[in-house]
Amino acid sequence: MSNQHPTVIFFGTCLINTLAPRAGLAAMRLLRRAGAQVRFPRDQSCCGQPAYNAGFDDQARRVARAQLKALEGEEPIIVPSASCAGMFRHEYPRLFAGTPEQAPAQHLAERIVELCDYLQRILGVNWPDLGPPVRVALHQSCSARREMQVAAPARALLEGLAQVEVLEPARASDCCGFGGTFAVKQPDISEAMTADKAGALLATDASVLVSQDLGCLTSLEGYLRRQGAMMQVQHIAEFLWERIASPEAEALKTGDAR
Amino acid sequence: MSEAREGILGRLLATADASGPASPGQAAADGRTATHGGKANDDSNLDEFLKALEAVHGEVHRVGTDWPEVIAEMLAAARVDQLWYGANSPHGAQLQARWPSPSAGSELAGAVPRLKPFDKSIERCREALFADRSAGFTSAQAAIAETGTLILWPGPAEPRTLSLVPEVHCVLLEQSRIVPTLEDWMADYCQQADRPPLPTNLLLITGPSKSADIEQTLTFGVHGPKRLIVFLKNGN
Amino acid sequence: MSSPLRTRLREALARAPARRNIGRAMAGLVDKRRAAFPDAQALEQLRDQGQAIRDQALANLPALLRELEANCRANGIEVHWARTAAEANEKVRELVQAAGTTSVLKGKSMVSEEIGLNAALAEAGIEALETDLGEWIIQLAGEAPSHIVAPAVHLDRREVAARFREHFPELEVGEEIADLTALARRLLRERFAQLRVGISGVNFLIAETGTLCLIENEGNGRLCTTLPEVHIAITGIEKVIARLDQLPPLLRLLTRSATGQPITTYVNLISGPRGTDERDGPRAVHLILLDNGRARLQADPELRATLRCIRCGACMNHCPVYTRVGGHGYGTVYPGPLGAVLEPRLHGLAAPGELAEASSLCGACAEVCPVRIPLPQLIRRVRRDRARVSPGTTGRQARLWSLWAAIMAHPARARAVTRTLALLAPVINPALHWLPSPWTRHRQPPQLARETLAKLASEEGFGDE
Repeated sequence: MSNQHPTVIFFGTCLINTLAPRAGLAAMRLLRRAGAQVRFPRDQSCCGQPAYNAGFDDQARRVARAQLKALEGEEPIIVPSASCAGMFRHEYPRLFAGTPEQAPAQHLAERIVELCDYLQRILGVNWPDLGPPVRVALHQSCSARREMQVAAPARALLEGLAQVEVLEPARASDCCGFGGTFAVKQPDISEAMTADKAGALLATDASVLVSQDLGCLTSLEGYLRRQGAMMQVQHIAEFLWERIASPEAEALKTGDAR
Repeated sequence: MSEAREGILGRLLATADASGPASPGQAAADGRTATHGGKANDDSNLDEFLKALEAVHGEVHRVGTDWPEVIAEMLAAARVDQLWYGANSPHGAQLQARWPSPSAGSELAGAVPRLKPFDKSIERCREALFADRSAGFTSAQAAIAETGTLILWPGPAEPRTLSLVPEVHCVLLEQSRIVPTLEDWMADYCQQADRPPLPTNLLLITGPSKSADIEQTLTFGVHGPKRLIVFLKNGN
Repeated sequence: MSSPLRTRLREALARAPARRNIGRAMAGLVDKRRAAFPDAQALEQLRDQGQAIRDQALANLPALLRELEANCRANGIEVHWARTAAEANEKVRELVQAAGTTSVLKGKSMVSEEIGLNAALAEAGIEALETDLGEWIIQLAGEAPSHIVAPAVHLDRREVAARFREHFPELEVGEEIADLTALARRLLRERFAQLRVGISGVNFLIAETGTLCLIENEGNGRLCTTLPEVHIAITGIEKVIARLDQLPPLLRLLTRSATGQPITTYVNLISGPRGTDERDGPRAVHLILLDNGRARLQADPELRATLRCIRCGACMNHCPVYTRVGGHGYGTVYPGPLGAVLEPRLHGLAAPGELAEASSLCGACAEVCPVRIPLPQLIRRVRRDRARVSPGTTGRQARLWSLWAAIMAHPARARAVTRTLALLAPVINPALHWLPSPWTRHRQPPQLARETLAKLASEEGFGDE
């Protein structure tokens, strides 16, 4: 990386904001640790994907327009979710095609980078592992694998940690059954998919489940808890931060950091 | 009829007018593929053909000018009663000329199938064709090494039913007619300046009839021939 | 309240044997396809080529159809046109009756399923005998195909044997697959030897030569198009391609994507009825070109891509929904991701449109489509169309999304709501456990955080500017 202190914009995602803000904080700390100046625009909310996938483009556009404004600038926009990153990168240009915002949407799309992709491929981070030995099951979302093609960097980040054994579940590329509103609109088939995925994850005998996407994790965690499974569930940012910054991470957990 | 035709074409033309005469990727729409690597040499063609044919449960016998005797022997061993062939084809004439006589003193004598020329319309021999323990004989115009495919060019001399209804299909193939891929064969055919028109029923045949409709388990001879035997002839 | 689709999906999930059979079969097909394309780069080039050939054909559809018609006629093939399923059925009935028969042979044809041909013929007193092994099994059982390539994939050998026994009580029926196949061969060959009209679909139409290309493994397709005096082929207008030399790459893509086969046992290229000096082949060949909504798809720049489809079924084989419920879970002729896009265009947005909801938009279908149909995008498109036109549930959804947008599109409101949710988390979180929702039927509810990311960020000095 030629620029040793790049400035980046961080997009927290609505799910992380409401369900796991500490994963967002961990992601920003990782970026800072990697040498980036992190900006967190307060006017961001949601990429608009839920309404877009449901077929309600007008409503999605209203929300997306607000993000165009909130995320204005030239800096890379780092997104700790392949799903939301895919929405910005591939769907914004479609959503705004033929509208006055077509050019800004295209510009924003080109600035989007998924978190693991940025840390591993662009910044080339290589952190010492300070944690104890652990077996980790890695779930990679359909967006990470197909839409954004960022499955490899996430895996590489975990494999770069000396004490971490990365395990892939059987039929790893199968969808976990979350699919946003799909999980609510088609609960039966969604459950069947989630059950198979959870079974494959448990069969790895890992103690922690990690993913780039909080949507999949929320669904899988809910299912695993209902089954009484003990597997711990963590967003990859939070997991990484705990490995590379043990003392600070303890502080992060108890919530009295600085 | 014409009302439906005009209706459909009218709708399509209205669209074409609206979107302009698009003609995407002419070059990419070419039939030649990156996957076919031009002509391989004869030996590697042959090896590949044999492997591919074996993979689809086809059988092969190498033969010389004695091929009719070899076929007779094979079919006798398989207890085939009758062999149908194209009466007016040059190969049919050779087959007939060299066919062992059932009355001759060889050890197979009594078992040699009767030769049945396909010399009348199918309506007049349909029942006989469907008889058990029958075989059909055809030549192959060419073969595809990559897939073990035989290319048949049926016509007045070699009816199409010969490769379909009898339980065993015997095919005579000149080794020199094996080309690497279907793309190669097609390009050769299409680029001939005075290419003959396609026959009414050009056939590509790859192995005996099969089905995997029950439990994805391959079974052979479901409706068409149960065995496909290639008699591979080297030179003349 | 459950929608018809949700009920069907639930019922399909509950049919354990079918689910097991389909799941196992699809996993096998996925493996076979993967093995059939060992070179990833070559596959991508081939897909580009497949797409280009199909796009070129669709861009010149009217001209190619005219060229096809002229060349077929020159070859002695009679060409008929049908705007609707009813017109097509009527034409087939006419042709069968003109041949003076009341029983016909049928080769496997999804278009004939699409137009409900067998039922239409039955009404006219004509028996249509399916001859593809899988199709024959489900015809005996009175069921619909559960897969466009493997119609009886939901049944195992014991279930097939049970259906045979029920249908042929006088026969000994073994349970080995070889026995079942032999039985089908014996019973169907009697009919092949007798019947005078054969009906088939078509895989590709070649405009340049006036040729019908049909592919199959069993030989029943050839028997249906070779032995009868009259062969009636029926297919969609989109199946045409310009040139003969464009066929090999499409065959390469089709069979490898469908079943992992390098090629099918038979590739049958029909360029005319029996010639004057020929001894076999049908005396008449009829080609019926069916629109049935295809021109409407062609007119839509986005949905036109659907017409590239070569019916390999790979999108189904790789779909996490299809592989768990099979075709019967959808209740339409074309199931899976393709059906979700195609069915609403053939039969309207109301019930068929709901198929588009049976997708997690995982993208597996688009990843394997040999002609690169962007199925997830098109599924979203169907959802968009439904959101526009259908009242009722989608009307209620529209209001919900508008409320959501009214919050999320206004930074101040979004912040206020987020803060409030964090504040009320101690109250809301326990309540989520008791709130009945589709989510909590199978999962513990998610728990709201007690702090917001914005607050954590400013505490730690991550600035806004």
